[in-house]
Amino acid sequence: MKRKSIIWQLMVYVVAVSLVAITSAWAGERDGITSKNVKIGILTALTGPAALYGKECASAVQLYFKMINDKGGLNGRKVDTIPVDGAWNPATAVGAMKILIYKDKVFVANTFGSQATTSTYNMIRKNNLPVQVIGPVSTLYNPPRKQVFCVETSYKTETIIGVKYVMETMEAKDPKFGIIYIDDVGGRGSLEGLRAALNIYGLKAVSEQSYSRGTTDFSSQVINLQRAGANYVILWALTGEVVQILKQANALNYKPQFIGLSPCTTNKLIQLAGDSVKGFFTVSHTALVDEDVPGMKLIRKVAQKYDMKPGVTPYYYHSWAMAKVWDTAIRMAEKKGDLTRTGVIKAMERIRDLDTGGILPPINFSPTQHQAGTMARVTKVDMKTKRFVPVSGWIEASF
Amino acid sequence: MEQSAWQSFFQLFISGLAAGSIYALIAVGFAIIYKATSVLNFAQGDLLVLGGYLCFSLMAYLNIPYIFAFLIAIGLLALMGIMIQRSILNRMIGEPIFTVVMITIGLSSVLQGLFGLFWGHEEQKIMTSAADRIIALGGVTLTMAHLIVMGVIAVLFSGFFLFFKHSRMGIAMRCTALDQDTALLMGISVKNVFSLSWAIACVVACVGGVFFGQINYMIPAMGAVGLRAFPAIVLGGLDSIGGAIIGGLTIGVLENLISGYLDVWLGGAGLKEIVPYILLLIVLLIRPYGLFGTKEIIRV
Amino acid sequence: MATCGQFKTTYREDIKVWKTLWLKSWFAFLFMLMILFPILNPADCYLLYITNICGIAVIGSIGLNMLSGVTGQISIGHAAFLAIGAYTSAILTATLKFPFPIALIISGFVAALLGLVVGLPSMRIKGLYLLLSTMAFYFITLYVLVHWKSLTGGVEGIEVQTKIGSFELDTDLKFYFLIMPIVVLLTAFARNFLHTKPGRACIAIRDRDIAAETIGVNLFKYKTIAFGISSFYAGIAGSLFGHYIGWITPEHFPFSLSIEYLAMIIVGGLGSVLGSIFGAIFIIAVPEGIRLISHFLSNIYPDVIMKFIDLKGVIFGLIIISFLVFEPEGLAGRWEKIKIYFKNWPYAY
Repeated sequence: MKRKSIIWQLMVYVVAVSLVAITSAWAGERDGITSKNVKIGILTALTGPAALYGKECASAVQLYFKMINDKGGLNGRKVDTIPVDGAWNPATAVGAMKILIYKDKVFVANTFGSQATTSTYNMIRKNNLPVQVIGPVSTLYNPPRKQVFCVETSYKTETIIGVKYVMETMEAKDPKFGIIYIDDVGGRGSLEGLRAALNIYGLKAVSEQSYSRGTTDFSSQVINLQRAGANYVILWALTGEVVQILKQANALNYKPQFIGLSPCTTNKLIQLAGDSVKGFFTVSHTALVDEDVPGMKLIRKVAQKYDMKPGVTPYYYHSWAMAKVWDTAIRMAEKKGDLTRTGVIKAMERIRDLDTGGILPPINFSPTQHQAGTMARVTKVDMKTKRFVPVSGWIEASF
Repeated sequence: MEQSAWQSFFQLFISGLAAGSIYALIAVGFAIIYKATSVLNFAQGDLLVLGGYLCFSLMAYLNIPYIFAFLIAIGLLALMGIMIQRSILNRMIGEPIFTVVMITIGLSSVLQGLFGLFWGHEEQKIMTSAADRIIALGGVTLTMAHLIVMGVIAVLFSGFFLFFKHSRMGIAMRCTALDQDTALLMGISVKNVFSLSWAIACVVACVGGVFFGQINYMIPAMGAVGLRAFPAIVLGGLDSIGGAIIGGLTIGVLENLISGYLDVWLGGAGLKEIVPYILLLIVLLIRPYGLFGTKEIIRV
Repeated sequence: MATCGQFKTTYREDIKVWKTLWLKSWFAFLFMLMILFPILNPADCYLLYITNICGIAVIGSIGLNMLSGVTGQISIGHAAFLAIGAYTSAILTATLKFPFPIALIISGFVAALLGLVVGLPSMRIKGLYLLLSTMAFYFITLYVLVHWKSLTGGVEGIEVQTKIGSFELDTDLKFYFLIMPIVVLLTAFARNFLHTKPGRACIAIRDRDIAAETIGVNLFKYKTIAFGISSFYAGIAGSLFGHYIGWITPEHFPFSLSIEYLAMIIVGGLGSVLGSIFGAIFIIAVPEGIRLISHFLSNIYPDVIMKFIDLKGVIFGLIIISFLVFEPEGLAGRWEKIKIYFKNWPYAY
């Protein structure tokens, strides 16, 4: 009985402390920038199904600004990066964004995931908060919305580039395209891209197969593609799912040219898929994890200095580039003497040919173009070194 | 590369059976716990993943050979099942069923958090040489691991059949499931029966997890795969082990056939995802206790 | 403060809502607090947001409790009804340009209508089987939302705006004064419903449906009524949620939302209106509290927090488990015990 009451007391404390913590999260002034520091919010998914990617989105930005702070900060300002957990759940994400805007009063923010961004868009608009988004709904930047910027090449564009490469560089004879896509924003974007690109060549996909998150068995999708005779298959899937698809196809002795997109361009894929990954292509818009371009070398050096591990997914490198964009835009805004959120938005729109050291293709924004990524590369698995190697330069999506 | 219509039908069928065997393996765990304690264990999927992770760690970090790692993981999970029962669920005997169901949901949250903490969020896979070997049966292929799983299911089923039919403890378990109070009056230790059923369910989950980790891969959120087995257990009837197996296999095959032949007409609409649920509703409307479930006789 | 109990001489007295003067003054105090609280805060803030989300959750969880707690028909498809409410209202306001209040009410009724349909099989299907059939309904609804692109906008969803005439509800404060009256109204309705004939019939069905039938309760009628009311509440909650968030996609209504609502009523107390309120606040506030604490700590130890962020789920799960182990009747049950303790103080009983 006695122990029970102690535990009860403890629990009452837990609840009370949570309530107190909530009530003390008060609001106040806006525009989180002073002469001493700048706050950059990162709304991401630190827990839940997308935690692997979400964590890397946060840690890359943190590492970048650690480096900047040690070099004396952003024009003398210390940069505070504030990650909050949206847990891949819209309601949680809205709460997280409220914390960032009203409690921490961040100056600018990154958001990760389409639903986190759409759920918080009202707040973003109302507070005129400049945000860079990862994996957004295309309607968020097309037509451009004032506060929303995106450096990534969309999955739609990546798919178009994949088709273009097959048709023009590989000069495929009698190509029959198929696709396996996840039934969400990313997958649908990829499907749209495939349809648009094939339209230009007067072709049609022979089979379009969808799946939902959590699917582990792809046998029927693969068999359907095989029956339709698809010999080029686009995959919008994450690492684990691609491994499953490749293995199923291998077991069925079905050997088309599989073409993945950037989310599965990881060394883990090669490690897990074994021999079935042979000949696998991806279309990716970031540099490869082991690539020796200046930007990647810098990341490895900085990570080593702070005794951290660089990320394993493209999202990490992508987020690093986003941090660099903030860095540039805020410096540009200060040069113009307009260090406000509007000033940063205007500065972003002036960014031309920003060099990320080869991590991303050169970044361009303009008042009519809030999505920078129009290029990607084709990479191939090298079975000897067990890594991806680029087989093309940056390809434009235009024809 | 082109296949005949029959060949692709058989391939869809066999691959469906293979996918269904995984559902069946998960569903058996649900059925055992439900049979003895009338609790629907929402953490079953997570226990499965835990089994996979344990075996993976033992192999990858301690370099223990596969078969021993498998056995140690089974032992650990059985222990854990007993612990869960002894420390938490024992106190809940006599409380409303849904409170207990909620506790298993809480348990699932705890386990998922621990996975993230210990194993990270990257995909992990149990690597064995035999698992990916391809076996061809008259133009139809499947992997070695799937074949082994089907064998394991057959062994499990006959094992449980004999256990429940003839062993002392098995009869005690059936008795407890039928009527707890009478079982207590007959001198059966209901606590031990519950512990044993949790231990068995955990062992089944571990066996499932180890194969799951070879055939598929593990991430902390993978426990949701348990939800996918729900239609299978309902189809078979919540408390029927044979029913769970048949339900799992049926759903695997049906998903594949629907996806193979109906989706074409609907423009690749991914019907595969909801077919199990539609089937579940139809079956329940015709037979409210599933195909093989025991009809509960309710008295005033 | 020890009292010797309350004596009632008529049934009317027994079912009164405002039983004592104390109760009246407490409610007056609560009412004052509810008016004053938002005025003391800025128009847009985290605290008001959490309060609003709690309000929406209270509506939804009372609805679920009417079905699961009062009538005994456990449902795990509640998120589907929330989604139906949200989508109805979003489509009505965005595409057909309905004024928001009318869309709000219609969305409640559309959800209720679908609830009636889902309730029909409950005559045959019982217990955990019913639970799983509502789960099936959830997944089928979600599938329709994703694939009926022309109506629902598919995976990209719908952008929702909230306007009453030319007046735009755009701050947390305005939403507070929209949500709270609805919460109070629906709570009062639920509280009174339990004392009406249908309410008592529902309780009888929960306690023993066959016995209820023999004393003349029409099972079919009252079970479908319970499903209807529950889905109406969910529809209203969903519509409010959609308009408050401002953009809805199928991903806004994950399966875990259903589980969350189930958790609210079980942790709060099955069959109790007060329990639903407690439960909703608990399930919303505790994870937020854990997040805030970790957020404060992350200012001090940034790297440690990133490493141990997964503990959040562990802590939340442990809190739920320990609550239920020590108080299986939920927060409402604990509340009663606390009240009795103070009533009898300084005596033990």
